[in-house]
Amino acid sequence: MYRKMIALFLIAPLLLTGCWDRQELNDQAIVLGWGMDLAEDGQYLATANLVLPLASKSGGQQGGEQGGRSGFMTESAFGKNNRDAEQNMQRKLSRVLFPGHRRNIFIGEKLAQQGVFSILDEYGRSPKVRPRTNIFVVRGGTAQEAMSLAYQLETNPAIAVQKIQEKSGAPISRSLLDFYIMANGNGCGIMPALTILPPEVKTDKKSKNDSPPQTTLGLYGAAIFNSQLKLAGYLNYDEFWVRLWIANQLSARSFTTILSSIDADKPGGSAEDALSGATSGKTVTVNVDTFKSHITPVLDGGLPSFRILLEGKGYIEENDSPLNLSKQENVDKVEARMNQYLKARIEKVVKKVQKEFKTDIFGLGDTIHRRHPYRWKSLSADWETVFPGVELDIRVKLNITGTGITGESLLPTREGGEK
Amino acid sequence: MKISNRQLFWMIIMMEIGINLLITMTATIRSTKQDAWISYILAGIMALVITYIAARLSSRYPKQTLIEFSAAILGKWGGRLIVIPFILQWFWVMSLILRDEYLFIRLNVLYKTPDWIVIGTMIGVVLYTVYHGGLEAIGRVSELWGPILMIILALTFGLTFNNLNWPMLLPVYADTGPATIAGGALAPLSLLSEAVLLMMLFPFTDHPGKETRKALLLAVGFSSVILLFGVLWVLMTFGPAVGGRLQFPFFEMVKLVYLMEFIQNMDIFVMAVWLVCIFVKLSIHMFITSYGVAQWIGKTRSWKKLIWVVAPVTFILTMLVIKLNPPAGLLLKGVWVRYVLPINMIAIPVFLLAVSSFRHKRR
Repeated sequence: MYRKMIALFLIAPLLLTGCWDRQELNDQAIVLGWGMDLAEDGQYLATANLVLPLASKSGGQQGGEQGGRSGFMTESAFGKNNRDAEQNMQRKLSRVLFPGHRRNIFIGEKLAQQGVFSILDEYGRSPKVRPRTNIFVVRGGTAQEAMSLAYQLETNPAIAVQKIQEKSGAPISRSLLDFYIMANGNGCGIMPALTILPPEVKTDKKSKNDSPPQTTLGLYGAAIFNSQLKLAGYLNYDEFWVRLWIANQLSARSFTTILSSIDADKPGGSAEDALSGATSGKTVTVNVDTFKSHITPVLDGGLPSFRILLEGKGYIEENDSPLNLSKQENVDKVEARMNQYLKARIEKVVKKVQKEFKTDIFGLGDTIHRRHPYRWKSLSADWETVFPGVELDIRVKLNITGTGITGESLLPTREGGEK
Repeated sequence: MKISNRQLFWMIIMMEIGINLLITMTATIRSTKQDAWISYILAGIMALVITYIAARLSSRYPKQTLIEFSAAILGKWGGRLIVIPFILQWFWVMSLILRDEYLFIRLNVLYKTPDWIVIGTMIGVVLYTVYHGGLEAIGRVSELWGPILMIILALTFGLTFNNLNWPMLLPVYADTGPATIAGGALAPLSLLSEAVLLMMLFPFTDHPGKETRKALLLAVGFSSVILLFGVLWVLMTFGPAVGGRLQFPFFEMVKLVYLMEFIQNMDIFVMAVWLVCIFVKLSIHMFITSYGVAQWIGKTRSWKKLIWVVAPVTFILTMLVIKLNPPAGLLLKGVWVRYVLPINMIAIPVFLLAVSSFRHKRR
């Protein structure tokens, strides 16, 4: 009996080789990026970014090109939705589309304006895809335009945007998941936005080996969606960090402000003196790497208001003012000036969101829901109309922990600084 | 066939955690939202009570299984009649676990492999183990894999820690209410209370008695705590809205592991230990079903022959379940929670215990 069983178990693997799900690597077209655009007739245009099997073998040569071939290809097809387009795309492909590495999704601006409700379901449904996915809106363009652009540092532009996103200070690779969570909570949503950036100054290529800056893909900021999940507007690269900080998600950002000439002229004095309105002067940059936000809803009759305390820790990276940073009171001055500058900046962005977009992307409603659940029951119904008029008391408390490897600048003191 | 108390402890843990982490969460989170963890605490406490009652009952008859002592309490026919729901339950559980296993595997790994292969191979392995090793083999497998399961779960909890967002648990209690929370506790409770099958395993331990009871209660308590952590983690990762919609939120949470670029794709480990859990659970059920049916028809010695009946019947039942494809909600809520929980897990043990102690006093 025992031997028979063993024999049976030895024979079984020969018969059961799992042929049903056999999918050789040579038969797969690995999808790294997926784009959706709205076509003229209400159909969708899907674009897939596929890894070129031969190119990816021989490492990344310059320009993502190997012997004149780029390291990726894009393919596109029309369709009624994601899967339909994928099927239509398949007829042009010799290999089966394999979405297991589909970590980046691009949405064309037109589609975003029309609303993403109709296409976002598949990204959370397919079991072959990991939930860690980036989703981007391509500002001022179509997904296809953005995806077709070769990227110099990486062989594949989809990898490039993923890495750019990771360096932006926002949570890494979870914009799709966060979008789902947010759309269920507040009803609005937010996605990182990309844009095609031409070089700031055009420099001609004089010889074959020159490499002047080229048109490339870059982060624009954040795209804001309203409760119908339609694009309401954008926050640009100088603004999108405000939302992240208030929502307790920001991880890194440098801030540069002008130190007024008065501050610099009178090197002594107290920190409060630094708060004299400055329009011109010398700049200081602080790199902040620890962020915290405390939102306290205040409900006493009438409209709810919020006290928002934003804390951060960072060190001075650049100081072009004549301030001698080896003295603590001068560091305090920078701190005070920075707090003032950040407060003004943040208030401006918050106002813009309240007035222009009218969507609670900061999750203020959520904090009422969490702290005062019973009050929220009456407030939640018309929160969308209440939010634009809500009063916010924003305070920024930056803590400067260091000044780099020098206190006083290595430059000789010239312009009105301390001798 | 003897197992130690420690083996019994691990057997119960593997049986409880594997399936529970995977399938009950969605239903509970959907109804109780961010308060699902309260439901899980409630379920854990109730499950301990139910386990205690069953263990108490078994301690009165330390040398007999449920089939034997129910006959001793209620007489030959009464005893036979009252265990019928249990025998039905065991067959039913086996086919349902197999179906869940098949659905899960098809969804995540083997998209096209036919159902009978997935189920057949699992039944084959279980049959081999139970036939050749009996309860001892199951005990040893659990003793070996239980700690591995714990390590992998600990790793999972640790590596997903950076995804947690505490405020997602708020507000506590305000959005639900006592009735909703109690209702949400039913699904995890009904699966945790499967530990009442200890009434079949009790006499096989080395020294059935107080230590065995302790091991059982510890196992159920420990499983409840792990499940509580699981549900807290899911809630804090996905929030109540998304967590209540994902079919296997715990597994999706594992898929999110992404640390320092190179620590990712943990899901494959979790799937592996999960399959071992399913294997242990099936083996235990296969054993008690064969043994129980053998005792029921009065031929205890030839219980091994009955495996050759039980296994094919299970296979056919599973194929039927897959072909008919009844909605999962109906099975869990409509049958398991509505009938099996109150009748098999609460009413019958309490009734047997009451009659037994009543007779004892009269004597």
